[in-house]
Amino acid sequence: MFDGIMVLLLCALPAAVSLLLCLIPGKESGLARLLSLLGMLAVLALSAGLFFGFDGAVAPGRYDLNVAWIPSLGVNFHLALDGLNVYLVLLTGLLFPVVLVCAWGTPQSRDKLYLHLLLLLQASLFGTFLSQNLMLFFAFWELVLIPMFVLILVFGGENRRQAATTFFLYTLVGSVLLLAAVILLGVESLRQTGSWSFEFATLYALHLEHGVQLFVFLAVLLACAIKCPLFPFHSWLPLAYSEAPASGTAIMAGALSKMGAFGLLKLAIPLAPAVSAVAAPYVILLAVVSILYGAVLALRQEDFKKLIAYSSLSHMGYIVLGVFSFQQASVHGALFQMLSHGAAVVGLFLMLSLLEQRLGASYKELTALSTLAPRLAVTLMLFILTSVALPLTSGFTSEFLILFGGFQQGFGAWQAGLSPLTLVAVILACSGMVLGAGYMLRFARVILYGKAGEGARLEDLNPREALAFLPLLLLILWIGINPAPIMGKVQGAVDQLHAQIAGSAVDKLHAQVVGSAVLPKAAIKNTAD
Amino acid sequence: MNKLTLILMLPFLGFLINGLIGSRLPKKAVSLIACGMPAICFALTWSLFSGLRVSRLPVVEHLFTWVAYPGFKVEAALYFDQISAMMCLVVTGVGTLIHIYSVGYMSHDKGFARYFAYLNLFLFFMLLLVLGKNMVLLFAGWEGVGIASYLLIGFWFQDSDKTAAGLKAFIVNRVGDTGFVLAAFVIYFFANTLDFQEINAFFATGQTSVAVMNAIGIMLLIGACGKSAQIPLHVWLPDAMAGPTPVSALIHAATMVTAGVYLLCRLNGVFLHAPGAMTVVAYGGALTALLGATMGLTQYNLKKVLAFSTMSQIGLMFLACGVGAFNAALFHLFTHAFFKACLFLGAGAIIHALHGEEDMRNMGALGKKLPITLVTFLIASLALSGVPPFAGFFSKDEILWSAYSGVNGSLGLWLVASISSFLTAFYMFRAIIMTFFGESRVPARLEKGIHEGPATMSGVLVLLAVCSVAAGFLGLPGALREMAGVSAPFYDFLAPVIGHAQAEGAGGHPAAGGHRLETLFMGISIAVALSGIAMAWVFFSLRKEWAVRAKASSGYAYDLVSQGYFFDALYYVVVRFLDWVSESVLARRVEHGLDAGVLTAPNHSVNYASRLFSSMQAGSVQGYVFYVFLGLALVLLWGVLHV
Repeated sequence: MFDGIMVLLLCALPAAVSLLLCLIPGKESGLARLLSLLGMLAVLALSAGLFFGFDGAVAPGRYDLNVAWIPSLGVNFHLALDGLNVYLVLLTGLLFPVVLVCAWGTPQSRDKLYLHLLLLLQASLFGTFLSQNLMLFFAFWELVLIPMFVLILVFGGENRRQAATTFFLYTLVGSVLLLAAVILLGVESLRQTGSWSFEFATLYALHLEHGVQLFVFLAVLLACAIKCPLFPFHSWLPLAYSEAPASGTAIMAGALSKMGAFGLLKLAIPLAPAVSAVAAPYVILLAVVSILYGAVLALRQEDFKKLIAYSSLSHMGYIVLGVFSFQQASVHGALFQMLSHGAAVVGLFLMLSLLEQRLGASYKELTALSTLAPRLAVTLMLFILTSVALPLTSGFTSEFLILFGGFQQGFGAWQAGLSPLTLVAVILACSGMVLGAGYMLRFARVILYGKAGEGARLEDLNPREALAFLPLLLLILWIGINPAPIMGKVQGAVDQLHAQIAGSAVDKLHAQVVGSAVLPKAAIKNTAD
Repeated sequence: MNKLTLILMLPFLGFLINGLIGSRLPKKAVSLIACGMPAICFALTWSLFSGLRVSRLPVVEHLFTWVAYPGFKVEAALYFDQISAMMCLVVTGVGTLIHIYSVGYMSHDKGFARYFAYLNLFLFFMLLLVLGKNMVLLFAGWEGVGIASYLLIGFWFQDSDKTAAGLKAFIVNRVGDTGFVLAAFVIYFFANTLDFQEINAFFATGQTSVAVMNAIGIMLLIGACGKSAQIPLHVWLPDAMAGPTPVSALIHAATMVTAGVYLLCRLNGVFLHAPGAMTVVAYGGALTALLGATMGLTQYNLKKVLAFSTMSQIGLMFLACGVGAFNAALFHLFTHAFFKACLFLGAGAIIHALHGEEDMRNMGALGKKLPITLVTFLIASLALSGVPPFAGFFSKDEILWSAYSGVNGSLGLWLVASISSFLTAFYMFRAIIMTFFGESRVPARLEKGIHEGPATMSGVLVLLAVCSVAAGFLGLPGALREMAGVSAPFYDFLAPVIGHAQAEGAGGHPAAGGHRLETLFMGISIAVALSGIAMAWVFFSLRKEWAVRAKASSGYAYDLVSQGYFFDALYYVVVRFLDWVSESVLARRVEHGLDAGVLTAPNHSVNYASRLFSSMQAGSVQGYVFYVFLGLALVLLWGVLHV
């Protein structure tokens, strides 16, 4: 029970701190800021504790809290830590204090509304990732939008109204079909088991007809493709990323985008395994188009924020590629990429925010950072190298595993006489290695190198900021250098995902596609011969 | 911690110390740490090497498991066999010398500590590359040396040309790396392992079709081409000369650029079963050797002459690999490391003396002022040109003979290799004459105070020059070995890993008849080298007008060669095309179209609908009556249809 409470606390603690802030008088308050930070640090300690304590067991695991909420409709308040969300819990716990510490000196960081929004955002993100009940998941999924919308609307840049409404409406539209799918699944549960239930465990066990699976799959895919985002559903992204306040952008890119990828893992594949297996090559194609589209667009972006926004589009494509390659390696890689991209992109956006704090709008013309502020330059370079996927950083571990798994899947399918679509897509995705190095190092060249203007000065990274970036860098290096111990934590979830796809082999074609994913290699070779 | 791990970690420690607190340490401490680490590494390597020579058993060190899930495991493991030992000796040995040289060379630079931090970082990654037991670890080192090279080429980052050169080097390398990664993926699909020994063992069983083997071989070759500056991925190397000269010596001559040769040798088990790929390796190497040598002819920048020469020499090493003479390739790699490092450091001494002048048209008559540099440069040039008894002669001769007698060998390959040797001798002595002899063309402002560098610099030059002579005797060609009745310690040492039988068959030490032919070829190659030198003497010292006339009469051909066969222009087109797609197609058209379709259009239609509906209930009584009748009509219609 105690362990279950810990999971609840992840969600409840930020919300409770947010309530507590109401007691503090005034609109702005240093005390509120301090209190929020302490709350976030407590949550970080908690999530780190849960991360290290998690042993990789499959649900119902140790950290499980299941309370009936609306029993007649089968809606439970059910939160649990499982292999799929354990990385994201750590990431969400880590990002918020980092973001707040980086914003510490700005006037908005004393604004109570700002702090409320951050805390609510954290609570609802934890809720989304931890939910084990579909209705609860959906509620949190939508709840995330509200604080984010207000954050952009109140604290954003010049076009903040447009950015906020676009972001809100676009993602909301994506969720409408998702709600229909949620209800449909509840009805199916009623039909098959005789009672309403939205528990994931129950829904996973249902036998859904092809048509139902197709509808659920498409609804989830649309919602997630907008959240991620994937090409061509990314139109809200450049605007929202460049207009949101720095902390908002960092959280959007670092954590909110992961909701999309998480949704695919949590909903699309387990609920519609047969359709997923058939649709996988096309989703992979979409992912690869995103990878290349984002990368090529980033090549010529002069606005730093937009450059990172498009690079983010490109990197999120890798996650989807990994998820839909179904291979163990690629799913591991996709899970790592969520962490890795989360840490790297947050680092990059926060770096830009520090420069903006120091220089105002003129940071867009900044050059020669290496001369002006060497410590800032080195830190920025490390995040850039992670984005470039240099070995010994987390970017390499995740992208290598994703491409490795994707390639094995595609090559296996091709050798088994199936369509070479996946293989071609993965090979194209490999060229993202070159393009990624191209735009990131061009960015480095513009901002880091060159001659500093006469008398130009810039305050270097101060200890507070350095302390904020340190955990991100440690995470990046840890995953880059020794990821094996971490992988054990999600192994159970990866196995479960495999079993779900394999169990879905409805007709012959699916069996073949799925077979190439899970059968031992020798078997494929035999069929090839 | 055992020796092997120490060898790897010490340079990293040096990087951390100098990188983090180096700027606050005195220069002496920085240089002591920076030079001490590789020196200790060299000592450790030597002791492991001595052990290996006796035991002949590779040393394996498992550090930890990098990635693991059921059915897949990548170990972070180090492997020290004969090939690794040889590479490690070169990397740490030449590396130490270049570190010591750099202390003098960089003494006035503001980024002293940063320079040595990068240099130690490079050593760490290079040692990871040669010690890694599997493809992932090698790749980690492979990309790592790329980033170290990127940082060092752009070391003077205030100069925009230099950072552009670093960027170019990394991107072009990445193109090759993609090939490497794909090769690793295909290898894993068939062999189910990424471990080098297991890969070689698996493919030795011959279960895989030749087509697959060739495909793997070609992809590996693409990777090797990127790192080793082989055509068509060579374009970064001349630009890479923007880095400090000792960096060019260490990274772009002695060690990193030869990593491609190391890769081919490491996976010789794959290549031996991929005849098609071997042919491509051989001819690609020969082509690079020839084109590199011709490009060297037209350069006026001293370092660029050496860069093209490096490219050309590595082409010869690839050629050797392509004809199955992997041990000859490694031997040339070994001797080349010494004399090319010596040449670059000599060039560095000249540039240092002239305060950064690199154009040979502004040199001349430096021999009297820089006697040590002259002598060492001359020795190294003779070695490079293949004049006996200097080291390059023995190693290059083995390759030339293999080009004829090896697996894919032919008279054509031998001829191409010989022509490039001739050109090598020619352009090297062109450079020597333009630099050290004739009348001085040094601008007056640089004329004052031309002097030899400090003892650390000259000492290193002398040591490398001595090695450029002595190293050759470790691997005498077969014919000479028989004549002198001695063995070749270098080949004997490598024999357990690159089997003697196979290398001998390929490298060619058949019966006595073969030896007679080999001796004849040796004579020809000596004549070729000497005539190249002689011709340079004629053209650039005795009859200078001939050189001018030859240049004028060759016209377009000269432009073609001096522009590097327009490879750069080709890549420029590709990059510009991508930029155009990015800017004009995607950003202006696709993104705008999407915005219009997804954001603006729904917005407009919602507005339109709301206006429509609001106009329908704007209080017009006629309108309301019309709706009532319309509704009534519909109800009646329904009734008629359904009753």
